[in-house]
Amino acid sequence: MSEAKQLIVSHAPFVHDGSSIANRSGHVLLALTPAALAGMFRWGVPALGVIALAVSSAMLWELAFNKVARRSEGISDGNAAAIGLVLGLLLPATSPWWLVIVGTFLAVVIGKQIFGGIGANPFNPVAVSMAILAVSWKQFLDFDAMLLAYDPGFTMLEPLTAVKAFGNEVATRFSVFDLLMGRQTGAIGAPFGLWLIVGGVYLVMSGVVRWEIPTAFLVAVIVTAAAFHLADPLRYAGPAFHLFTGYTLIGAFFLATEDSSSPVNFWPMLIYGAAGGLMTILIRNIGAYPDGVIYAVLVINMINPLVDKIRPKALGKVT
Amino acid sequence: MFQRSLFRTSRPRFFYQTLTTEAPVAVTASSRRMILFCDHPLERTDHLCIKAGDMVAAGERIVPFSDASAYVVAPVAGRIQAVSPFVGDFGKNWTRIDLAAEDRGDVDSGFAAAADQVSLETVRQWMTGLPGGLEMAVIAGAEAPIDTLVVAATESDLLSVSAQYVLRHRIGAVSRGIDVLREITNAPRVVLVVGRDTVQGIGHVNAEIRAVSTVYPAAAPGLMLREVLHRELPAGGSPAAAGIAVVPVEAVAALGRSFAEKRLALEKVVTVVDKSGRRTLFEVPVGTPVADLLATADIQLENGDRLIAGGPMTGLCRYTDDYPVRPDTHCLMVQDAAAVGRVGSDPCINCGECVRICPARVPVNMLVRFLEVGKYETAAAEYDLFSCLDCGLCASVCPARIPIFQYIRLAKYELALSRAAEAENV
Ligand code: SF4
Ligand code: SF4
Repeated sequence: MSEAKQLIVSHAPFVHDGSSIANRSGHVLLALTPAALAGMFRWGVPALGVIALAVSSAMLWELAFNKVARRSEGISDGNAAAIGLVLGLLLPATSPWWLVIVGTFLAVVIGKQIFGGIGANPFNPVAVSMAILAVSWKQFLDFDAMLLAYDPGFTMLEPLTAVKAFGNEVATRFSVFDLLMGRQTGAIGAPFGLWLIVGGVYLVMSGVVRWEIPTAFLVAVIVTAAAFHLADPLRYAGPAFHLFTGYTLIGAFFLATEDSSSPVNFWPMLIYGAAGGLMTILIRNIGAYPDGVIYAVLVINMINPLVDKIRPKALGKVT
Repeated sequence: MFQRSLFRTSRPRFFYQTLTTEAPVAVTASSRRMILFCDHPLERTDHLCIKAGDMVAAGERIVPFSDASAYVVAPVAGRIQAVSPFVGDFGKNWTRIDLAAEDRGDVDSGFAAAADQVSLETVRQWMTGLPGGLEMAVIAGAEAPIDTLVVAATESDLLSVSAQYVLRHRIGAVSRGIDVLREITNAPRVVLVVGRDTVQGIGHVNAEIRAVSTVYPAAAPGLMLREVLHRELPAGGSPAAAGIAVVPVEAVAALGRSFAEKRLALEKVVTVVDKSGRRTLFEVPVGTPVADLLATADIQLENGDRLIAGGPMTGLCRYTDDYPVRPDTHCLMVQDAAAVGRVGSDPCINCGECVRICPARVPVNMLVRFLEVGKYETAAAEYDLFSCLDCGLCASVCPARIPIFQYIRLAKYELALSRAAEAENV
């Protein structure tokens, strides 16, 4: 024997594709950057403030909770930062600072950590937070209230609320192109359809998001909205309107696709995504809320464990 | 080896290596020392009938215990240096025999006499240590009568090219080996399975030739038999239990050569891969110390390296190079400490990468939750543990770097132990 060397012993496999959780979070942050930048340009310094506060407070909540619960440090996996950024983009630029901090607390601590941390949350943490905020501080999430703070030179009616109140006639006042480009009242990042699509497609291409979920979600939005529109064109807006307003795109690409609360098998992903799109339009058109994405996401999160049981028969399995 | 791009619109695919046509003939090397493992525990010494200082002849059948039939065949003539207990892979208890080669030793004629008779008995008595790995229970049809004999000229892991080398350079011996196996197994059908990229230019063999995909792990028995024989084995079932005897091509060649030359062919083809990925083929007797093989290959081990027997996906780490080339050491690789990161402590994030890459459609994301907490019975009953082909792909794409494959092997091992214990208690 040569003089004994200290060899490392570990288990196979001895190759890894280099992916990591931090890497995936990084992709999410990158994918949201165009919409975040567009939001900052449109809504100015307050938007910058909300985004910065959301990301930093989410990370601090993560750190604080890990300390208190004596859990291993999780801030470096970037998941908290991604949660903060998504949440920030869903809030109006006029949100008071404390609302943002409460929001990230609800997302990181209530939505994620108390269920056991990353990977263990049954619901999308951001959706949990937004649902609680919307119930508790409705007035601060009223996008029409932003009217007082801004005069951007386009219709300052929040499209979904307007349609809910006045029917499809209002919808025709918004050009689809304007909506796509984010020329509408809304949250900081959610209105910028084009940039969200760019970011979403990037996530799909980099393998972080499974294409089946957003695709099924959006197709279901289009189909359901079209059905309503055909049934009663005066009352219900058409599919393009629904596609580019509210949280539809950010929901399809960034909320419904959250790993822990979504399915991984092919048919379940399609069912789950389609259920989300369908629920969204049902809530918008016949429910009590102008936008239904948040509740739709929570509902499909709830059915996720059930639908994900539909899976192909494993090799050599006899049933 | 890796086919991965920045944008992953399709899942990553891994390919078996192809032996290029210009590959040189394997380097033969001989060593002054041999390490032999006898598949029997050395618990008490009163039944031991060999001792340090004994001389053995080349090709001699050494039966170390008076109360057990386990044997080893000495590849060279030499003097026994030491006999010691050894704990092998997966906790197996073996007896290790160290041999120092002697130039003027005798040549044993036992096998030459036995080889006149081609029979299962001769094979049993002499050939357990044949290179390639010959399982006696498989060719004896112990579990079920053999209806198909599959000669697998496929690689066991990504970097090995040993089987392809044997197929290309020893086709005559393979053919002879097939005749021998036909005779002793009475298998009505013999199929030679080769990788799709090697199917060209195989010389004449007396078997059906079937090509199998070169996408890893197409050569895993479960997938291979489904592809070439259109037979799906029940989860966890062995090919042998389904009447299919799968024998590695190298064992077939060694069998053929041994009977033809009336001398046990104990030379093993080993693909040696160094840290930079450079590949060299060697032909050394089974029992050659890895340290000597690495020295011949001019590979220095450093502190912190990994020495892997097998291959990058399924191989086993050795903690020392004081370990022999075994009948199934198709590939030996040395890997730099930095080549692969540590396993992580993150929990499963349910990203589904493992599920999408698993060739056996195992719900790995669910499985891992049960394996982590030791719920092996549930894992087996509800989450398809035994459908797993032991390919290691899931662990190689997991962003949380969960040692999934280690959990899987451990679970199968533990279940096998507890089932064996249950069977005994009945
Ligand atoms: S090792 Fe992993 S990927 Fe391979 S068959 Fe088993 S569960 Fe599937
Ligand atoms: S690849 Fe790893 S993190 Fe992703 S679902 Fe599988 S076990 Fe979980």
